[in-house]
Amino acid sequence: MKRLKYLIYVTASIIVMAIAMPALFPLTGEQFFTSDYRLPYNLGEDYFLYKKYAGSVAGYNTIPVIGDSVIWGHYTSDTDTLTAHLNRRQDIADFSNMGIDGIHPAVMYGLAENYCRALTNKKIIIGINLLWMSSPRHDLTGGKNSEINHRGLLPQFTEIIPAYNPSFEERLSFVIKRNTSFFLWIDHLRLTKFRGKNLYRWCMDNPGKNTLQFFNPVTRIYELPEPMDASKFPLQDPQWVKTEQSLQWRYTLKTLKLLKEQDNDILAIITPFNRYMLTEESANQNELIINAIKDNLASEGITAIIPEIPPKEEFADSSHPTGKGYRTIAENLLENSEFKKFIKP
Amino acid sequence: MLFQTWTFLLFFTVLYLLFRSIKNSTGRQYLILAASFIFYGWFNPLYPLLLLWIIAADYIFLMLMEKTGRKKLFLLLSIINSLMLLSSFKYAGFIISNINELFALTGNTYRFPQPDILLPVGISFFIFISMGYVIDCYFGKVEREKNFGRHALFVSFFPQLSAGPIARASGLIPQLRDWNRGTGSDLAEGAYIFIRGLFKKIALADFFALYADKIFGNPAQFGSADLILGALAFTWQIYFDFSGYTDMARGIARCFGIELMENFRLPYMAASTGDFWGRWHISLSSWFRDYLYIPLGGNRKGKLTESRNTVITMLLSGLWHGASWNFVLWGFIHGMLHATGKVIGRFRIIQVTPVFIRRIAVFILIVFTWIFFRAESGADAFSYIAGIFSSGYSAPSMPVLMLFVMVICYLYGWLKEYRSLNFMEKPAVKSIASIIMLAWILIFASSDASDFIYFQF
Repeated sequence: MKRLKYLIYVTASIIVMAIAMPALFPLTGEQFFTSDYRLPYNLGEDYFLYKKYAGSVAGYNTIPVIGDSVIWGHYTSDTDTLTAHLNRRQDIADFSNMGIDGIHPAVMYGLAENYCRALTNKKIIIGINLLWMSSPRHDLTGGKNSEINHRGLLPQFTEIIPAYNPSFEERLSFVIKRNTSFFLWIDHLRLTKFRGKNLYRWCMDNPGKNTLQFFNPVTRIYELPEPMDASKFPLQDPQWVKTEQSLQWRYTLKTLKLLKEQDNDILAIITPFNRYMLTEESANQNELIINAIKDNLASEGITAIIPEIPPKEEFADSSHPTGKGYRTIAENLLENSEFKKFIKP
Repeated sequence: MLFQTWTFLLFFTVLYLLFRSIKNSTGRQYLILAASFIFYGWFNPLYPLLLLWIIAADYIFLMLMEKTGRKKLFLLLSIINSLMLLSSFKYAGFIISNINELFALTGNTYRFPQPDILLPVGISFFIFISMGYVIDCYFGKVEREKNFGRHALFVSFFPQLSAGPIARASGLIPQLRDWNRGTGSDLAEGAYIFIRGLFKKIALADFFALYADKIFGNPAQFGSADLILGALAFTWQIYFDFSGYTDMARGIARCFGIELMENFRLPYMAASTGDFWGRWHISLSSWFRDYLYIPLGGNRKGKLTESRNTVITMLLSGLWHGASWNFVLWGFIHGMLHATGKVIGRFRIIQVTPVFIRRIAVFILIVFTWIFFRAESGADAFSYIAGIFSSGYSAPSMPVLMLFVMVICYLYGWLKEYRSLNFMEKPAVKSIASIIMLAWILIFASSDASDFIYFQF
């Protein structure tokens, strides 16, 4: 009986700890989330931090802009992203960069479903990047792909995704992890305080170092990747996946609907795709897809804005603008009547 | 299905709830039997067929043994069936490659094709469980279990299925017959044993594995200090890996109210090689003692025969571990050490040597024997040992933390051996230890679950 009593104590302690630890020691204060804040690159998979950020943004008087690396600003600094350029205009609403590098629509749905529940009764902008429909591989409707970003946010048991074929154990662990704050907090702890590694691996990589150094957090500076030379953009002919066949598009719609169901007002921005890298035929197909997307969104009651394509030299690659490109897009948006109407307080 | 996975936790939770909800013992037995087949089939859906074959064949042989009175014939058939299966799945490749090498030596150009057979997880364990049971029935040590379901459950009981302990019918079948639902106390003790095993595996074995794999992966690249520490790291890795698995298996069984036999008793505290085998993989060493060493004559026919029997037993024990000459060599070395140890153990000088010195000496010997176990081949093992004495000193690359953990483990062994840690058996201490171990696993240890070393056997 004494043993049973202790089992109950242990179980109760574990449950209390699992609930209390993330709440008592979030290790990230709201002061982190400044106006041009964006999730640090190395914390892209720190969903605990993202959830906390979403919770804070829910309380701010700002418009969250959710999307992939184009919204996040892959080739730019914190002060040169789309939201940063929009925020430079003092007379309009403030914007929060809620983009994450590598978030494609199928996982954006998981992100919204699991970590953006706090966003209610808000105006939300969603960035739609056509890159994810530029081939069956990107669309996840092609063959098996072992390099899928943020795979833990994909639907695990509710849908068969042709490119995604993990073991049952992997699927189950993802579901458990994303639904348990404690495990997200453990990851957060590792990523923010323990150099993103487990202690053992760190020890092996640094055999001569004092083990206590492992517990000294390191500030990592994001080294901006070198943009492609605009004069040498190769012409490409992507195998576009049509909206009616596209898994990524289906999940974009699901994400938008989910956020709408949370009583949010949604605006979609189809971020510019680098036309200068497309053959004539491919550019036409791209145009057809954009029109189909617009029609789809209109039927869902969602406004879609298609900013003008920035000049060639303001692209860093096929879908990412440079800092200058973001400024052009921001200026273009601020002149757009539908955009102005949407952000009006 | 590995014990340290979410899949297993889900499996266990559902099974435990069902188990507790069934009121009669027979229903519980059939539930666990079905669960055992699902558990084994999870590794490969074809594996249960093999298990079923062994169960059904031995059940029939035992029945015929009893009904026809031709006990010897059916014992022989049962053993042949078991060994044939084991040879086909485990040793076929080894046998064929050796025949091919013999052909090459004699100038024969013919080569048998290598069979592409997947070694089923835990085959050596459940075949030995069943074989031991048939032999026990033959000698009248246990009664034949007439209920097929219970017979099947004894052989296939899932906690022990993939890597033992190799249960004895006399210990397990009576528990299955009068199977209660398990008490809260069983659950508490089982959970503690399981967490301890999980800690041994994930927090300790997998840690030492990082260094052992690095050194054994390319020993020529390292100096003597690294080679010695690499051997030590493997010594602790294999202990924590296997005893961790056993603890998990025992813990799970205990949750269901079943007590499986102890498999390890501080083996690195052994004061002689014989003592080591009384503490390491006890269920296997006692199996070989009872079903091979003693039938061969044991120590009853003079010193020379005793030594021969010891060497044969250890040699086959080595072969049991794997179809490779280095395992045979490892077994042979243990056999020689054991036989020699028995002889010199009678010398006065050994008898007056303080026990702690003998313990240290045996530990060092055991560390060296593990080199043969871990190396890819006998030649690799010898060159590893040669490297220890010839490659010169260079600063070792073992992390300080690992060295520290290693020392703590050894000290813990000493303190436990001399009963200085009895206070740790108190439920309150166990509870705190459980929380600390779980927290350590979650925060600091690896999140990648690796296979157990003994699964390959």
